[in-house]
Amino acid sequence: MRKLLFMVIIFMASLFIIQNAAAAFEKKVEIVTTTSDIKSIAEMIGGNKVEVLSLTVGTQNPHFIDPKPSYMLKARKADLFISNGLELEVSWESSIIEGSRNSKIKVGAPGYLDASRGIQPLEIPQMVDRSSGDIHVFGNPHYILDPINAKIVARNIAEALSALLPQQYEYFQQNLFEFNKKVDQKMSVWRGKLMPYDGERIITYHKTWSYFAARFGLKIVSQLETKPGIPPSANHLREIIELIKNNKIKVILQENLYSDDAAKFVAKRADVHIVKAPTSVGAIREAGDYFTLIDIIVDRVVGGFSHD
Amino acid sequence: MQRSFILKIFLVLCWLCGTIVQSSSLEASDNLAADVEAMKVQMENVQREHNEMIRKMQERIEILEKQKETRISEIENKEEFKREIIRDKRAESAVGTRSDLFSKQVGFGTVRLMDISFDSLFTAGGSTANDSGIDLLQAGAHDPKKRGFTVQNLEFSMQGAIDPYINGEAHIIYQIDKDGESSLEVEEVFLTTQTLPFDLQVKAGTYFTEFGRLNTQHPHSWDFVDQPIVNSRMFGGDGLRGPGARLSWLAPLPWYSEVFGGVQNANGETAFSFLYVAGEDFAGNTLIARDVQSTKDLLYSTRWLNSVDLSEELTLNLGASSLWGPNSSATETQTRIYGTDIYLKWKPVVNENGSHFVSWQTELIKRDYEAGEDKIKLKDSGIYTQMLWGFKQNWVAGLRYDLADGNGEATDYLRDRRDRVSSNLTWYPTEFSKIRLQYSYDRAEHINEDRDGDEHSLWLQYGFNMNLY
Repeated sequence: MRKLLFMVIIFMASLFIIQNAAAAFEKKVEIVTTTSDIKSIAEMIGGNKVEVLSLTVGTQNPHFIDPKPSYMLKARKADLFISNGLELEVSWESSIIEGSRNSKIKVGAPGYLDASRGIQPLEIPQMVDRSSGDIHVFGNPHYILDPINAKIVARNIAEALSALLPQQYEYFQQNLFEFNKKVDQKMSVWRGKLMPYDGERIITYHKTWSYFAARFGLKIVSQLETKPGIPPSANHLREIIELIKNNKIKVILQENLYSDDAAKFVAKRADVHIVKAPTSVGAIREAGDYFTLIDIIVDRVVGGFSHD
Repeated sequence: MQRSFILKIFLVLCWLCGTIVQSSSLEASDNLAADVEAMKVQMENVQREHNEMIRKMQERIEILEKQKETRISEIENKEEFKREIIRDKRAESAVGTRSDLFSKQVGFGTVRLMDISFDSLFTAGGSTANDSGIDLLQAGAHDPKKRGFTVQNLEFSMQGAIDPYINGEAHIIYQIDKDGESSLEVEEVFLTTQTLPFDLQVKAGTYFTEFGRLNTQHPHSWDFVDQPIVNSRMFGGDGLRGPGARLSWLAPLPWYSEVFGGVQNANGETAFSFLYVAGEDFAGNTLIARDVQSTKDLLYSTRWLNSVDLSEELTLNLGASSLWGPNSSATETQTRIYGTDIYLKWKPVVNENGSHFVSWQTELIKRDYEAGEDKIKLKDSGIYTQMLWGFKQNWVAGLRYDLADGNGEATDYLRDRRDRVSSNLTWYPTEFSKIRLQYSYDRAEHINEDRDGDEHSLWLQYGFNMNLY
């Protein structure tokens, strides 16, 4: 009996020691993001103080994601849940957060961050009804392709992380500073490359490129999609062909996420070059982080204009 | 001699004194040196602390300056952005109001009180079976019920957070039955807790029992025009539902594993295999009115649901469910229902509009029903297995096989051997609407013996869904 008691005490003591030893290792903030782009930025701001996991990979269309139970499991352990916001993941985000039973990441809790906070949205519809297609009430959600918006996202993430880990405030601020500096440096490179094509008119497939185009001085004339989320119709494509001919449009900027059948159909009938580019981190293997993603997009767009 | 002795003593004394004085002065100088040393150390400490403070303050200033820079650049960017926005707005003349009926942007937040949606489903079509035959073939209350047009389901759904602790959900349906009678039905109204510890969750209200995959689904999310035969036989036309409460627990396992346990009223029109309406007929027995005497007369349910990602593209769900409760065949009779379900979905991560997928779903359900005072065992079982293929953006093809049978010489249309093959093609113009064409081949001998029970049906279903997103 005594022996047993002794064993129990030893066991408890060793448990206590192990627990304390584990606590001595700094616990990382576990972040779950909805997209790979936000993940890439969160990794740069959080550095070695965080562990980031994205629910979706870059090749998936973030509009249409099945809220798999495994996502809820991932969100259950999260200290911080970061969503893209502007209703990009509106059809699946809430079921994941509720299903995770993690009150730390409930909307409104310090562990929930809408990364779009402070972004100036483009294309806010004046009147919403479904006859206009798949419209986002709060504006176009593809803001991340504008590097200046990435800065706002980075600041939001730094703030959220500092609230969770106040003793690391200066570390996150330092990373934010580095990030912003890199964006500024890169911006001058990107602007420089795209400068010759300032004001050029282009056609895109979906309204993914609005922010990118606005930032770099490209003018999007129309989309191949008949309406947002509604596949191209033959009639609409004929109109696009006319539009291209009349306006001497040189480039169709096609998200590699979508089928390029419509773009090819148009390119066969009008003198226009198809530029296929990734729209999120990981959409192609080379686009490993946010900066290389924008690098690739800029280079491909430049390639498209200088094609002929 | 004496004097010299005294002198000697004096001298010795003097020397002694001198030594003492000397030593004491030495001691004093020693103490002084120690003090000086201590003060030096102290000064150094103060200096170090001071330097440290200065360094820290300098760092802080640097950080703040950096922040200031980034803030300024952000503000500049914002200004630039504002100008662009204004340009944009002028160009598109689309000045946003940023609000809609039920969600409103207030300051930096959005007030979102309730999500409201309205779903409707209609079918048009016909069958080689006549109208009374169709009624037997399609036992589901929301199935197509006659040649021509059927209003399958009009459903009004509301859901939202009630407070930080509870979410609420309500589904009210309006139905026009095959005879043109209208009725309003409360299908589900329940709350779910949001902040219970230990990954627990309580659901309370009146709701579909969590049994298998299909019983909790509303008709607008069905993959086929009608419900499987086995569901109609075990749970009646409207599905198994009733007032009650259930607890679920998300087990701390490396895969998704949720355990449900619940208790509901066993009586009413929506508890078909249990205390169903008195006077109705069940497998040749007239049902009696049976009072709830004790907790034994309630309906108990359990379910265990597991989900594993076999790969990034392949998800497997496995479930097991059980039910036990009283039935109104006699005063002491019981019913038990068991089921297992499997769902496998493949969806490539490289896909366009998330539209390509293949899914396979199967449910096997068994029932033991004690009938009459003699407690005759009526054993029934049924299975359905279905495959869906999303082969193109907005297009889905489906194939389903149904089989159900009862023991003994079952002749009742809800217990005899019956099977059915259904195939369909659905076009979703958008995620808010669908048009579905379904062909079903039935073998149900009791319905039409002249044709060996072979029946062919063709239904065109159209449905739409109005909601906020």
